[in-house]
Amino acid sequence: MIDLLKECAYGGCSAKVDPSTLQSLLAGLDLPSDDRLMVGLSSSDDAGVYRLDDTTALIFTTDFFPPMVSDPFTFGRIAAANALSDVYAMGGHATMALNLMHYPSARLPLDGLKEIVEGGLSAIREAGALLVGGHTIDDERVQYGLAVVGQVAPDRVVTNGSARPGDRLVLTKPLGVGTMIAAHRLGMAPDFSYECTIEMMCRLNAKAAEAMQACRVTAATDVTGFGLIGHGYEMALASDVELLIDVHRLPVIKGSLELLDDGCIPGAVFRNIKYAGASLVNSAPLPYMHLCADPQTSGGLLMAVAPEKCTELIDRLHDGGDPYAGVIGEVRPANIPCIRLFA
Amino acid sequence: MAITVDTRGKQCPMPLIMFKKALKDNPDEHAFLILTDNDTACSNLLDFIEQNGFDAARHEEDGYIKIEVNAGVHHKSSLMFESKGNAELIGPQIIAVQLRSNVMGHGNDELGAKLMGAFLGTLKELDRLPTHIVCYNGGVQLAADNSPVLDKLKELEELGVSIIVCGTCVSFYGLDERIAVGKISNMYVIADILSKAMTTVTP
Repeated sequence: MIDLLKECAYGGCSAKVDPSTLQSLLAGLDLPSDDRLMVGLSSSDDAGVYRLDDTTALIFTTDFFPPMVSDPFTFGRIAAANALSDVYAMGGHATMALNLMHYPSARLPLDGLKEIVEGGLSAIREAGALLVGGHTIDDERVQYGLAVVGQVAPDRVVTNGSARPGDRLVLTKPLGVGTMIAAHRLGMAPDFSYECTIEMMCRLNAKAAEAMQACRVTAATDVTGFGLIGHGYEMALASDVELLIDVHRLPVIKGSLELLDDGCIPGAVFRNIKYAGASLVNSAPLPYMHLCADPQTSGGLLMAVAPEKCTELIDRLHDGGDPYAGVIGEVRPANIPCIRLFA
Repeated sequence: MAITVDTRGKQCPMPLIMFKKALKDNPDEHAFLILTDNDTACSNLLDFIEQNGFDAARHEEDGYIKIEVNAGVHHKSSLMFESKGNAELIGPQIIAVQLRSNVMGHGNDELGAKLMGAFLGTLKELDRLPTHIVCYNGGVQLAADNSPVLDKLKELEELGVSIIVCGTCVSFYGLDERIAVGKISNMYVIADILSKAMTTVTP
């Protein structure tokens, strides 16, 4: 029996390099430009988007990380769902994927590698995409993910830079994933909540992306390693707005607030709060702020929707299998872009 | 005498858990002394202490770090947290307003109709919007195309409030095809919302 959790101290999106460090490192790069590039590095969006012609734009993205669960198949499924999510966050659908794999083949049975790939394939198949190849490296640590190509009509690209004052903020999956994973390692996670967490991470954001397109949503991002605060901050910055969030309306994995209040706070929480810096204005109790900074693996989509479309969007999200999707706040005009939490 | 929390040899988030437990176990103490030999844990502890409004002093010792904490006046308030919404296994917290008739209160219906209009107009001004408005019995008339409060309900719906209208009641009042706001639903959905609601408001 392979237990991938024994393999690493930090798994999933918690293992990402500090976004502040990364940003300052990449700031000096001289990037080639092209008129056909619709979304590039500058807006910290979820994927690159490149216009092929008037009807089609290409979405291109990758994500991979070390395990955050014990079971190889489940890990593969979650890693693939997480990578595919970037395509959904841009409003597109996935067409092709490549496997990216690190595996210690001398130390762990090769069955594990196969199960990871099978888990990934189950997500790729559900997405209606093709697995067209991959790259496997013998390495001391297990890591897996995908490079994904997707498509979207150029006039229907959903970015993190088009949230408008007056829009309602909608979040599709409950927060608390990082906390539950940390608690599970310490034997503190309630069984039911942990199972819900796994189920949530395995879910694709495909239906949510369809709902988003049906309601003509123009602004969204997926909430992953940098938490609601980090990805919300990027949206506020790219859209030049304030995001106002009512913490009591947040969908929450049961037990995660209590765990945070007991000090079970993943390290990435502190990193994410630092990333937002002075752009985070908090008047909510501390456990809520920590929840908003909790690193999500394969988290939900954060959308900004025009008020008149809000009810239809929520209905479609519920019907599509995201029962916890709800309004969590609104977009406001801002002198300085920020994310504001209140209770 | 400060309460000592020795977290040496422990990885995050264990040192935070141990410190928080010490805070909870000693609500009347102000002085705590945390020992750690892990840079990440130390940095997270210092962030956590600052976020709580406590004072801290960091001292390098031989092979470990000592953090002197003065929790001071913020200690008690840091222990006040109670998360709400335990009625539900998982998911957003429900605040439901139930509209049981087309008027507010008993006595004079002309006055009651005015009060209902004022109540629905005021809801959007409150700090916290309801998540759901449930209309049943005479309350479904408020969601009909000739309702005097139709605009107010539509405005609330646009603000993200789910408006649920009892289907049986709509038929009983002969209002099929005339519901102009919200979603017609059944008793199961209504009972589900009301039973999971953290707060139920009945005007």
